[in-house]
Amino acid sequence: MQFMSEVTRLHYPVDDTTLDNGLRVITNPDPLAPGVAVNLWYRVGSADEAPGATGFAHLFEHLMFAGSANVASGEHLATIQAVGGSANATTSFDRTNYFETVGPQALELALWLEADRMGSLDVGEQNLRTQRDVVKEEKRQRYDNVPYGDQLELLLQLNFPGGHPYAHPAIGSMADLDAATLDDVQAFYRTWYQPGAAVLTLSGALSVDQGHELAGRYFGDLPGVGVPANKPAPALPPHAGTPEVVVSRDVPRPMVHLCWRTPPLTHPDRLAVEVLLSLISDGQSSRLHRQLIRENELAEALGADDFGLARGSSLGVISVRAREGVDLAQITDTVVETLDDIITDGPRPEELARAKAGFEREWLAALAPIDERANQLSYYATLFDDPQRINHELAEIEQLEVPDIARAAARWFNPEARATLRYEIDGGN
Amino acid sequence: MNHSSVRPQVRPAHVWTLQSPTETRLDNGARLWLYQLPGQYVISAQVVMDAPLSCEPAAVEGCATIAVRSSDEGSMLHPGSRLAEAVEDIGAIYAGTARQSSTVARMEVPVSQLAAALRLLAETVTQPAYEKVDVDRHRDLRLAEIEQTLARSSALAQIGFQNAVFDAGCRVGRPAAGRISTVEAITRDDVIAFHDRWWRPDGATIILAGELPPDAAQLVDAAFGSWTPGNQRAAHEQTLANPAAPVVWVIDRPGSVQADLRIGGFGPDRLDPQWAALQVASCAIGGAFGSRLNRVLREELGYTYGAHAGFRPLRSHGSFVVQTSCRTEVAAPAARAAIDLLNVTDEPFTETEALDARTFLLGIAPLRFQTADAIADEASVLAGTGLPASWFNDQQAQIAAVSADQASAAFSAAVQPERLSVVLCGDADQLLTGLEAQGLAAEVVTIDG
Repeated sequence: MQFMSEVTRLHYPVDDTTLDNGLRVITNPDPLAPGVAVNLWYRVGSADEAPGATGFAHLFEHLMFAGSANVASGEHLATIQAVGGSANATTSFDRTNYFETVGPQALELALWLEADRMGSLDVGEQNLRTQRDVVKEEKRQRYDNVPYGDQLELLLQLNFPGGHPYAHPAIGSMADLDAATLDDVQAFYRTWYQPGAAVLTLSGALSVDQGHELAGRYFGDLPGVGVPANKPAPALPPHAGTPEVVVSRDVPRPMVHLCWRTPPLTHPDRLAVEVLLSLISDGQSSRLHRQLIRENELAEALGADDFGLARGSSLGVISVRAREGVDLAQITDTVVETLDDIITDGPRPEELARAKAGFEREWLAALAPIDERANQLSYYATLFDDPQRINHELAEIEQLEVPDIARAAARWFNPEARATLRYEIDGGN
Repeated sequence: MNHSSVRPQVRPAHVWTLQSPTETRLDNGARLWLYQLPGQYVISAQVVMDAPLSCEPAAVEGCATIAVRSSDEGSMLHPGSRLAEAVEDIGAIYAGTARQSSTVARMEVPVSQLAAALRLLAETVTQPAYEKVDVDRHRDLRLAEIEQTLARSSALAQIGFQNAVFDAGCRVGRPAAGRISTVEAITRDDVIAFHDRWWRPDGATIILAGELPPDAAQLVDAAFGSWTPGNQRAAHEQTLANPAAPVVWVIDRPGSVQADLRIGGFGPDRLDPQWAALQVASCAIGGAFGSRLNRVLREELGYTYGAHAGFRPLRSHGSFVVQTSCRTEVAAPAARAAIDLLNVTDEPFTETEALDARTFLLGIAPLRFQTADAIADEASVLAGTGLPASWFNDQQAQIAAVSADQASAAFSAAVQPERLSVVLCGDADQLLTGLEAQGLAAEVVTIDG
């Protein structure tokens, strides 16, 4: 069966240019779009934080909304919404991104706002204190006050050695945040928030010429300043001796996370790893859904994901929440057997075809809105140095064959090279 | 002068309207809304059935949810997991929800597989096998889901708020997917009976959105033409307010490091003549980053990661709710500050606030409705609440004309700050004294699953 019909019609025009000051500008014209997505990636994330300064990249993301030369604190977001647009920002391990989606009439305003805070930052003690409090509330809301809320932190500690760039989550330590000073804020800003560390993507109702002209007009005068290389991370060896961490928590059900060190984003095996995880865990016909949820009724919920990390090694995790009274060992055995089967025999051809068909739909749906497409282009430009990947990554997935998946499983998901995080019920029953 | 110090002026946006669907009707009574959206290569197909939760037998509430969750676990033609395999073979995905006023079954699929997807969607909707083992499993998974829900502070606050605002005798006042006692009672026969009676084309709307082939209507007819009418229509319950409101409740969750707050009351539905004015008002109060609640509670006081407010319409009536979460020690002052910020009588909206809210609501619409699934979802909500597809554009035109005075007057009439219920979920021992000091003496209540 042929699934590539829509995809072969899909070819996104992608223009890729760099201003004299180092700002990379990607323009993706789309005449059908209702507006323009402005998406800015700075290649700095939590992995670049110094010891004792965890959480800084994310706190800083908040402070980027707290004022610049011509924009008051909070005005950036309020202004974009007041012209009928949306804006936000996120911080991850390898990057921090800022984005606005606006009608064509407000494109220049969005660019001006981003350029103003790329050129200057005007944050005072009061703003720093307030945003530190806001970040603490974010941590309480997203992590500290929810069941299984410490799983991200525990997973990173289990899979990355102490001091490794990926050993802590982006939200960081609150003690470290308390120690942050305005001098630290300005130093971080001057180091990383430079045109040469940024990719600006414009997707939507504009022409390539307009993209060039507007990027030059609003960002061209910013000085080009050298930016340090990102903090490197070595490729880590596979886990040895199946390390295991067991925690007791006040949670409704036991849960297990089985973890493997996986190839970094730009490794040739990455797509095979993604397809492998998809075909064992996505959809009702996936192997683990059938065995754990449908047929043997061992689990309430499951998922498998790779963190998509860029430096040295990434992290793949299969997570399963047990049904009442089910021993986590039974679940672990099932996952291990499933992986052993795939390592030995590979997936069945129809399983692979199904996973590819699912990827095609997800891909088409994910790239339909301009904001997500612009983000994907910034991602390819920043981490792959290749924004044109948007037009050929799916074809690479389509070319994967059964032995490719079996090989990837053998190399990266050897059951003997797993680490395990188990949540048991506090006071166990 | 350096150009970068000059803020660009923003021209007014063009007036934008949501595309109207082509509306037809199948012989069996189902309405068909087709949204032709060039460039949208994933089609969203939704079947919205006129099956309000108030039609569930009281003893087995949650059976509408189990009916939709079990519906793709095998059909007469594709028994067992063969149905899911057939769906996933063509790159499609199936999902469904039993909402207060309708059940929706939906499939998303790449354009090239539309015909096959419609056949499978029709098969899932009209001929689910409902094997006992599958129904029983989904019942047990729902019971497990209730336990996970009861462990989450935000979910407990939400259930508490629903109890505070709506009459317990109304279906809306009880959890949509059922409680432990009612879910435990659900059998295969209950699910089959509910499906047989309510998953019918009478009152149903089939919605397709995406880059549709020219014969899309014929494909729908071929797939759904043999779906037989039930010849009885659902009675939609009138939603009633909790006669004991307003209440101040604390749901005790010892050891919580935050309190989840809900402040609000009984509210209007989309048919209220002031609905457009209330949309402008609620945007200015709590619908955007720069709105009153978030500006004060987050950006000035640092009490919270975010504070939001809005009207939540049902088919009949609805609610107004402020929601936020903040560290325990500031929960009581945060509640008081939020209540004070709702006093629009003393602090009417300025022309700038009203203009910003109107511009946001009108300008965000084309960006929100970029994709097939977003348009299908909106159409599905309208169909499920008995409104025409044209409702959205009519509403936008009304929003464009709302003045600051109208927004203030409508909000002041709909929301009286001292008449609102306050529900917190958190560590009661640490919350009660502070609340009392703010004039919010609270009763500690328990949420049953």
